[in-house]
Amino acid sequence: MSAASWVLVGRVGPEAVDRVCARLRELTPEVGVVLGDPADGVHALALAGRVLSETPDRPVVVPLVCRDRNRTALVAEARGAEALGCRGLWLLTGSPGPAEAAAVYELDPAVLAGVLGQAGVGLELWASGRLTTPAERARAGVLTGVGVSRWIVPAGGEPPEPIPGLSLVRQGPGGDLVPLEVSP
Amino acid sequence: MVVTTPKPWDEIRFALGDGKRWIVMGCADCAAVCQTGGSSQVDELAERMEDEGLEVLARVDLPSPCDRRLTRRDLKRVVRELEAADGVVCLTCGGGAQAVAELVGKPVVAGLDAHFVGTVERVGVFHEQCALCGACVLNATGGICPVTGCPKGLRNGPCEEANAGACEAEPGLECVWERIWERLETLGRIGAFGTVRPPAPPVRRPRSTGRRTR
Ligand code: SF4
Ligand code: SF4
Repeated sequence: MSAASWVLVGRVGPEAVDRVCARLRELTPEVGVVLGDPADGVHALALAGRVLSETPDRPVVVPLVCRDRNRTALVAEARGAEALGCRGLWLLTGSPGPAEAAAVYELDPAVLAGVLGQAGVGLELWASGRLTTPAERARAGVLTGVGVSRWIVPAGGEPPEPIPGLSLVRQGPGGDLVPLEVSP
Repeated sequence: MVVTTPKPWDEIRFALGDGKRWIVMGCADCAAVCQTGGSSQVDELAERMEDEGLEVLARVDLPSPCDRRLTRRDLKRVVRELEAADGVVCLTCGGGAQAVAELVGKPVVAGLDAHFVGTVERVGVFHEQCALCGACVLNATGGICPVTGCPKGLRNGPCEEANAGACEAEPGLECVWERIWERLETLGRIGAFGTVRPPAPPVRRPRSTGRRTR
């Protein structure tokens, strides 16, 4: 774990918050934390607040899920992350939950990145995806163009070809805290 | 065309309430293609109503109920029946039912549920290929609609969960953005892929009557 400069926290229910925070306290302060998709779990900002209160200098990246949420909610949450002292935002469309909540009906990550820039939210922007097909790689290029600088690639398979302007971060094996390997 | 399905009889019967004398109107356009509001379905519903002791004063096949001009003209053929009727049952989409309601000034019972604008493969098999988003991106996507083709309605490339061409949200579906890429590549227009497209106006935002298109 110590070799990784970032770890990814999966979905955390209320019952697991103490356990996860205890694991994070064991890490050196420079190891950053990326919080996962909060669907059905603890709200990402609440968890970020808890992590920052227990390990104040740790870089924290919170997910911002576009699915089923409007501009007001997304910008407010981004500003909340900024106010908490988070390092960055992981822009996600989000996995579909119940069928009626699956649509990204106002801002997708590409448009959201521009909106956040215009709103003066100065957090580091992360995104993710497999980068295996030309379409997936083209999307990464689009997001890089609007300010995304870090990209999480799922575990397994060959590492993808680099994308100019993008620092790739690969997921390691699963668990509460998934190590993220930053590409050279 | 507007794709419709019949409402359950119990729902229609409840909406008929105490009314005894009715006119049944169908749509010779979309609802006829869907076989939900053509002349056969008008006859079937009228017979069912008569079986229940209701009186059907006229059966009308409107060519295009949502076109007020045509409907106003065609209603003239049944002026007497309309005067005597307690109301009208419309086997049309909601647009047609409302146009009729405004023209007849009597209770109108909607007999169909309208679902989407679809293209027809065969009777009963339709494809939703346009969600009427009001900001069409077909010119940049090789003529493939990402709003209806992607379960998340994404307009700026695939989602992060796309799995090497397989859609994460709907098993068995190919990611629409892979199809778009392939089409653009075939057309020699992949440069169109890189543009950030603004969000469409929310698809389900109610649009009142009188919206001008030119
Ligand atoms: S982009 Fe909008 S207007 Fe164009 S086909 Fe799709 S839903 Fe219809
Ligand atoms: S995999 Fe493709 S089609 Fe499926 S939800 Fe994601 S972007 Fe949309």
